[in-house]
Amino acid sequence: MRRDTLRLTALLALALVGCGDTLDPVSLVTRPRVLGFELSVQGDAERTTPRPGETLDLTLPFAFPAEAQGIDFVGVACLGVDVGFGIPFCASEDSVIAPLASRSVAPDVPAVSFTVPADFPADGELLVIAAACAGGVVDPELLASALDITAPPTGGLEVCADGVGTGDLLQSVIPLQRAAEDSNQRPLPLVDVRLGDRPLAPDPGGVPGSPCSGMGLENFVVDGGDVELIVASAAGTFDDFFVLDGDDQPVSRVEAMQHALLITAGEVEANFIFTEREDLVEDTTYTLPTTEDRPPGPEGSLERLWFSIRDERGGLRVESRAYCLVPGA
Amino acid sequence: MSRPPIVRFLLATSLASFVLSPAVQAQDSASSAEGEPGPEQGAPGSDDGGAAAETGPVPPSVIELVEAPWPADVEAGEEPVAVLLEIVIGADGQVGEAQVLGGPEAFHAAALAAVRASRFGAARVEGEPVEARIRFEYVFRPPPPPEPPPPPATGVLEGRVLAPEGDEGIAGARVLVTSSSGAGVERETTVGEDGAFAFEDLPPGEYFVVLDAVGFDGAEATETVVPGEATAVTYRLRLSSGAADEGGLVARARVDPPPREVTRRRIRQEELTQIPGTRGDALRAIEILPGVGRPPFGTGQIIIRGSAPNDSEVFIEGIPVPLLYHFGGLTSVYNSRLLTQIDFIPGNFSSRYGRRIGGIIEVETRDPASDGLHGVVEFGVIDTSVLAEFPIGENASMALGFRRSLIDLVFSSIVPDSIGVTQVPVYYDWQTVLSWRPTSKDRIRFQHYGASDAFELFLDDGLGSDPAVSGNLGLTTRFGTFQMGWDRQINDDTELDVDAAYGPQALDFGLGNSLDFELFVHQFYLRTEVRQRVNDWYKLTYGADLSLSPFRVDFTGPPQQQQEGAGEFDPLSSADISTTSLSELAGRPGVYVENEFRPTDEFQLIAGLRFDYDDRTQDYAIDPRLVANWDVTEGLRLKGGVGLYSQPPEFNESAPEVGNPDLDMIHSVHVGAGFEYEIAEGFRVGVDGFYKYLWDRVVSTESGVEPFFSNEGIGRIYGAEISGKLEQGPGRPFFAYLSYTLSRSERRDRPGEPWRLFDFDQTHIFTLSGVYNLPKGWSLGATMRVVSGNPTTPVIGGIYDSLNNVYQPVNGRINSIRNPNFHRLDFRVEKKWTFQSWNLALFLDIQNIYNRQNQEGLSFNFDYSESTPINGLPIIPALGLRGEL
Repeated sequence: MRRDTLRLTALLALALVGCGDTLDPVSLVTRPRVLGFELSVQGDAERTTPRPGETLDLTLPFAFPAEAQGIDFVGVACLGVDVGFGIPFCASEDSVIAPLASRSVAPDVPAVSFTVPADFPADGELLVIAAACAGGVVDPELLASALDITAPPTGGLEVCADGVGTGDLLQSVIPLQRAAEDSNQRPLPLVDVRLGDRPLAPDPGGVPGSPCSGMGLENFVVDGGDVELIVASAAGTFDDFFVLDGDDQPVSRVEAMQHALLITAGEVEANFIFTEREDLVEDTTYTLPTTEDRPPGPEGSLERLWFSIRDERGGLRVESRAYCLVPGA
Repeated sequence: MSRPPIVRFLLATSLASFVLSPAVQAQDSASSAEGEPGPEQGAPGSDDGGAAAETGPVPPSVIELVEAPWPADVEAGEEPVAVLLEIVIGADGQVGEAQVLGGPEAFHAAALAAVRASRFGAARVEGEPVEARIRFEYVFRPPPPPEPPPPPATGVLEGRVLAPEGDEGIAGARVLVTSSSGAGVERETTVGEDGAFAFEDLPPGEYFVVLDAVGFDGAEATETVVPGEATAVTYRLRLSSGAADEGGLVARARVDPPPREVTRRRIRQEELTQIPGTRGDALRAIEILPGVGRPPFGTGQIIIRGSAPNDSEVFIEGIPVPLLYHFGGLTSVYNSRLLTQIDFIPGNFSSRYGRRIGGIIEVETRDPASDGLHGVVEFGVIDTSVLAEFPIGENASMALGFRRSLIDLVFSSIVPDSIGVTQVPVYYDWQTVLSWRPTSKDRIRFQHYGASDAFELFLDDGLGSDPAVSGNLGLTTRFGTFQMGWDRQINDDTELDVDAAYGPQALDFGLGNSLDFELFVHQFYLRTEVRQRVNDWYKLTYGADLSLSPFRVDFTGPPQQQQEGAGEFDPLSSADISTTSLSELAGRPGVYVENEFRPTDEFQLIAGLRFDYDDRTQDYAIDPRLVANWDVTEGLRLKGGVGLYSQPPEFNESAPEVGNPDLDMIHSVHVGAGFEYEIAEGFRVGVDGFYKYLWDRVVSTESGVEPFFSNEGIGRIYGAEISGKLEQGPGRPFFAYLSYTLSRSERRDRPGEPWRLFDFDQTHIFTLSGVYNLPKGWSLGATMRVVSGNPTTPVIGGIYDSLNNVYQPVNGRINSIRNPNFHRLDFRVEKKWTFQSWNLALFLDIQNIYNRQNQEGLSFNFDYSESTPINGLPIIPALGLRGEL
């Protein structure tokens, strides 16, 4: 254990210090990016934890580097097997609860619904595994090859037919509400987002990189400068919940909000910002693009920031903001 | 016959000034003047000159007085010696008659001869030269004391050649010394019963010492002779491999410093500390040996013959060491200059060693210097160290060593701004050795040594693609071992060794709130061994050891899984993080016996048996082991062996809740055969073949569900090693090591699964290392390593985990591809100045001199669709200065 730990530490430290070339930062949207499963129990829209017998709505928000695309979504909801590590999979083909399929047209995103069986096993795990293809359609044969729902995947992961589109394989365990204390509410909308101490307006829509003059957005000069990005959460967004300790005794906890940042241009110092009930406002540094990276036209360039807010208990809310990147004087 | 007129004068002479004494004995003159002419006036050399000529006879004068030598058979004192002569000086100034009137007889002849050879001015009477009879006192002055001899321009090399244990000399051992400088000095002697030898009047400089004795392994050393000083050394020769009580094992590769103890600082592990790329660290020289795999970057792991690092053990004086290298693998935790030798046993090791199925490294330390204060101070860019040795009374000596890293001085400047440095990387280690020989049959040694490594970084939130990787990333390891060893020569045939140790060990590794591992162990270890020579052909060794480990583990993190063969790990975010605390006692007793049969001088058979028990798994193992060695001809030895080896699971693997307490021990069978051959003087080659089969390997359960681990894994390792060693010797001021290993190490984790490569399977391992000692204290060396790239698992993509907002990697076939081949050239140059009582050395050790970017792994982007290599250590020039008193 000791030597393995040393090995892991050395490799991790090396990777962090960076002895190799760098990759594009995770926050920069260079291809259609899935932002997660937004869950909502029918009849209780802000709740994300269905009880057995309830129907769950599931939508799939995306972030696009340019014009939004239609998305083909195919998957299943099933009873998953218990895994200690690795990618979860369905217990068997008979464990499938419902097939899931949705094909959206931009700017809409896929949306599916399924009902959790009333006799869902008390200790069972509700699992959704699926594929999505942005700008194309999912090839059923490729999907079957890539994703044996009853075993960890081992082969190629391409799912888009004819190689057209951007494919992703997706999975998520859906937390169920078996007791009142299991209930989870979606994160509330952000109270404030400021860039360089200027509030960013809600996203008016539009294509990133397109002219933005006259859209009422905050202007920022394409000078590569650092500005402060501030995120403020609503105080009521943090739910109390319970976990079991090592002796199976319930221990009270409070949610923390994870804000994953995605951007169409520039660079953020932290890809994730965490807020807590005691510390609602957090910040990071946003580095504006340079002319070489993102030359704006004379009418400016629309740039977007996405905030996918997670309570790490299944709740997800996606918000976006925009600003107008303008040439220097 | 008429007698010449005689004038009697008494002359006092001075050998220094040749001046005639002015004193004239009136009585003598009066008596001699009767009927004889007076001395001539104005004789040459007379102080009274012409005045005397006008007033009366002038006595003879001395013109040239011959100096007589001091008689050889007479001891010179401080006082002069006078001989009174009566001589007749003719009118021509020649000495005629001469007789001795008084003085020591031994001086008579010399005085007479000297006077007769001297020249005088004749006496004059009224201006005419006349014959004169005078009394002449010839004075011998003692010769000046001899000049003090010049200080000796030579030194002495003296010492003893002893048996491996005790104080018994090896009678008949041959000691050959040859000047390393090529000055042509070569001396040889054969030691007597007491093993003592001495070479006197050796010109100063370095000497290459070769020891040879029947029944023992030869040995070599390099010693420095200082003018006017005696370099005292003690060499201990090992029983020849065919006779070793626990050695002579199949494929035993011994790092070949001279097996000896040192009573003077200058005795050092010359070759071990000269290996390029090691910065003089003897324990890192292990890397050049056949069968030793290349550890990946920064881990300092010991990979022996395709075995997992945890399968091998390092011992210092019989006690396991929890950690051999500081982080980064650049420096070992024990000062090389306190080492005597390193035994590296890659397989088929003795029954003395248990609980391991890989290989063994046994490090032996030496007694501190007992002839005065000695010390070594070394400054390098990586770390700096100091070592002091001194006697305590007549039978004891002590050494104190300390080393501290200097990386912290530059570390902050190489870390990106986004990473805060909470604790700069700092390591240090220390050694205290007290050796005491209360009797000629006992040696007691106390040691306290330990090490500390610590660093901690602060990672901004969300630095990478895994949101859980944030907060503090820290690693701290600390251990300190108190160790006592007692060696007693019970009688001529029986020896007893008792070793006991206690040491706290702590490991703390953490990453934010998602991962924290804290281990604290009170490690007790006890070993007792008796070696008994029953008769000429049978020797019995038996012993017992006990490892007792009360420990506490606090763990927060994802479910445990096997580390080896796991492919790319899941992000922490996607794991179920849990917390576990565990306090337990791990007791592991073992007993062993070893029977050594030697029916002939050429053949040796060792049959051993070991019993081990692990109280945590309540499992036991009985491991028989057999080894044979046969000296076919002089210089050619065949060897072979087979044996069983067992190892308990790691603590965490068998821990309740997080592991499986029902695990069994892991087992392995070792089979090996080979030969060693000395092609020419100082040039040896060897070939070893080996096969290991492993069963009951601990592996993760499928998908990591409870009980998390099982014994379903098996493994197989096979290969061959070729080794060559060219030794430094007369006319050969260089040495070189060559090793090549061809091997394959495979694992199968569960029944029905295909075999896969081991994480550190390295098909080809080639190492060539050499050092050339030039005149005037210069030495140059280089080490070249070419190694197959480590296997790695392709990541074919990622699956998005919506709940945790992270992609999980999808591994392809485990270890089905390899990193590119590794190669690296290390270089070392050293200049040493030897002064009257100390040495100074300046060295430059450059690791990876051509800055090869060796790939150690891959770093992936957020969805595993792109990757970039993680490269190993770049060029590391290490400049150092070392002073030795």
